[in-house]
Amino acid sequence: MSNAIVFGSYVPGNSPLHRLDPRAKLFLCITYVILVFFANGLATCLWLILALLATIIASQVSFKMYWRGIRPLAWIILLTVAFQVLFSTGGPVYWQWGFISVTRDGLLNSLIIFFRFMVIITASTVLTATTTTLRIADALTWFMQPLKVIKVPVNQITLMISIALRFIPTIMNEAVKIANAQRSRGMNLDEGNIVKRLMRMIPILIPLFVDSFKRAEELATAMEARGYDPEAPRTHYRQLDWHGRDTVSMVALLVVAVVLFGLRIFI
Amino acid sequence: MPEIKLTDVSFSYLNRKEPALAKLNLTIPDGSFTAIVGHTGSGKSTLVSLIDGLIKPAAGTITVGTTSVGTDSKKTELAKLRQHVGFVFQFPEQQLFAETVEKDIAFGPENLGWSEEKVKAAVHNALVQVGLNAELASRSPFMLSGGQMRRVAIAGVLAMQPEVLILDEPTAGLDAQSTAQLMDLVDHLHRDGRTILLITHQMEQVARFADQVVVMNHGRLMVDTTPEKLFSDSRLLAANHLDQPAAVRMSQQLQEKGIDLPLTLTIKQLSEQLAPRLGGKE
Amino acid sequence: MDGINLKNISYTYPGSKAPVLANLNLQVPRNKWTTIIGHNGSGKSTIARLIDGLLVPDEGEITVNGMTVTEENLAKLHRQLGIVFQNPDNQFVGATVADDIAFGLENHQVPREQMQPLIDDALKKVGMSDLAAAEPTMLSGGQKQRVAIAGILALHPQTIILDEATSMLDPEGRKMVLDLLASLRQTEELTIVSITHDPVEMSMADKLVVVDHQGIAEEGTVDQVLKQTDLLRKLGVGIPVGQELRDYLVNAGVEVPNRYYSINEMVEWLCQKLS
Repeated sequence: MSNAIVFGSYVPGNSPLHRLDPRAKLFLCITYVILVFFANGLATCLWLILALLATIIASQVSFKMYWRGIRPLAWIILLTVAFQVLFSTGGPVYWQWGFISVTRDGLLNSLIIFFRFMVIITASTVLTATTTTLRIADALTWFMQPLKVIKVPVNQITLMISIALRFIPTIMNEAVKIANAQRSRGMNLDEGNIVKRLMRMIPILIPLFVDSFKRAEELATAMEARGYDPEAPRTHYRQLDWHGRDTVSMVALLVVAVVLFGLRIFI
Repeated sequence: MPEIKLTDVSFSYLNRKEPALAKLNLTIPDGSFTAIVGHTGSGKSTLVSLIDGLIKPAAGTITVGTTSVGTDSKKTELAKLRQHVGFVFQFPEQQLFAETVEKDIAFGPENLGWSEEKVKAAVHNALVQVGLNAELASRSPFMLSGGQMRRVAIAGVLAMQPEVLILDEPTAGLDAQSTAQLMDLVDHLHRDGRTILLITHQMEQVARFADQVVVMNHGRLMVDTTPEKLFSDSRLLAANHLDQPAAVRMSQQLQEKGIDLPLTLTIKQLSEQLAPRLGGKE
Repeated sequence: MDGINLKNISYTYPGSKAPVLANLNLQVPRNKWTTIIGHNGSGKSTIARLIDGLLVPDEGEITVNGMTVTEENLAKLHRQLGIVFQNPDNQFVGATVADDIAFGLENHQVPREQMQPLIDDALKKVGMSDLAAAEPTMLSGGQKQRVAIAGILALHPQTIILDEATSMLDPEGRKMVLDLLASLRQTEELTIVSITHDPVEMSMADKLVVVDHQGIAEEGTVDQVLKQTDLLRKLGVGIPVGQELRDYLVNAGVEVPNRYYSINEMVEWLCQKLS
């Protein structure tokens, strides 16, 4: 239940995008986000929106689900856009009141920012809607492997991340339970200013910390009993398989990038 | 004194298709000892959370004494339910947070806005009720043994002097001796006139203490009856994954072997039936 | 030497004045089920942790099937001996059931090609083949404990220690785990050590050991130990139902032979007397 709140977006399915290797998807997503910053005109923006639409359709996840992913962030987007409209200057002035003005450049800037926000959020939602957090963590692990050369304990870090992910729902449930217990004892979280509200979190946070430490200690003992030794080499059960379709997706990405830069140069 | 009445109550959790509670109707008379049983996930916890006003019904009304809440009730109205109802959660020792036992127990009464003297007296009484030494009051709750911590947590609820007390598996994880002590305390609170709602998996506790038993299964109230009737209906028990108490099982086995015996709920009752026939005292 | 042997073991927890165990001697026979009982804080769990090398005794020596428990032998020891702990959540390391069983295999550097059959086999033994891909939040406490047992079985151990492994479970979950252990003792060659307060679990053992006052207060067969209801009461552990009835009857002046009665045996005895 709480898992769904934190990573609200994984939508089980078996679309071509679901089946793609998480490394491919992570790479696609990051590269796409970088490409977004190279879009400077109508044609380039439209081209990237088209590419995104194609992946959304390939994901076989309904538009409603994507809207749910964007909706919580709507306020931040609107605020940023409004800020841009009112405070950035340049070009002809359409309206002015004190130091607040609406100018052509301001409008253009805000349009670009709105575009960037929307496509970046949607693109990352495509990633999280078609990939479980576990698979994303697997992909991250793989990308971090080169860091071993500079003595970064990659395997320990990734085991730590996967255990943290594993315990988030458990600890969220615990937090809900403790909050209910304290509400039942008359605690009121909804009244007073922000400082008072934060103070009221203490009866929830302290038990939660105590509980988490106890869990960590027991988990460490259990791991040791199961033969875990951070210094010793380990084999790995989870493995990622690169398929032909993953290579195809890389080619598609290349096409998107080439056309984007083509449009930039020639239009 | 409050009677608890639920009328056509439904509730669903976010992101779950099946409702956690569906069209539930239930009356719990004032001063009763009601056991709520059913397998894990049957809706027992949802039911008592609604009675404590921790969640708002999706349909129907809940009345505790003179306070009623429904689908359009505000948060403050839900909070009013909590003034009548005390809720001891499962593993309640996990909710302790204050530097001293005294401060932790005082948390609830202080939230009720009581005067300093009244809070002090309530804390003292609660400590006595749960059988804890007054010397422990100034200690850190985190330095106590597991059994003592649980009693401090229960004292924290009792200090608010609730008329209705909900206990969710209060003896989970305790050894036999602590279990017996805790159930004696609950029984004592009931005799003092409190309405007790006990969620439990221990059918022995139902047989020994309850006068009403509510069986939940998949968010529905399957039956609302007495322990005697429930435990004599083996088909109903099996359909809801419930065990028979050992004493019931033994008296049925004896009945099957042709021995004329009423259904007994506890080992003590069974012994009282059998002793005279075996040449012992009445 | 076979089985588990503890010789003159003493242990004091850091920061504590009194030893929790002093001069303790205990033999756990191989391929038998030994249950350790005692009140909270008597040192039962300490014994489990000492056997597993998670704690190091101040004095004395422990051998497991002839191998001395030392720092150097720890990896070898953990491969042939597994512990199931009390809290089902706090020992579930993997993101899914299969991952969790793999965790032990990974630690012992089992090559990846060999893992899948071992995992499948272990899941089959605990009856959870359908749930290999399930995440821990979807599992009940009893199921999680069965996964913990599967994680140990995958390493083909000689010994399983259950440290109050059923105490946090509901009756259904408890029955699930106990039934599994009862069937495993038939099909596998396993030494089982269980630490418990549960009268049903106690009555399943081949050998019962009572820990009290830093040492062994009593040991023997189930019949020998469980008939001593005064001792059980003093320890705060549960009294088996047959014995509870016997006590009530004796107090009411009925003459009942002084021996251990399971529920069925009690019913049988009553039938004989009454008909």
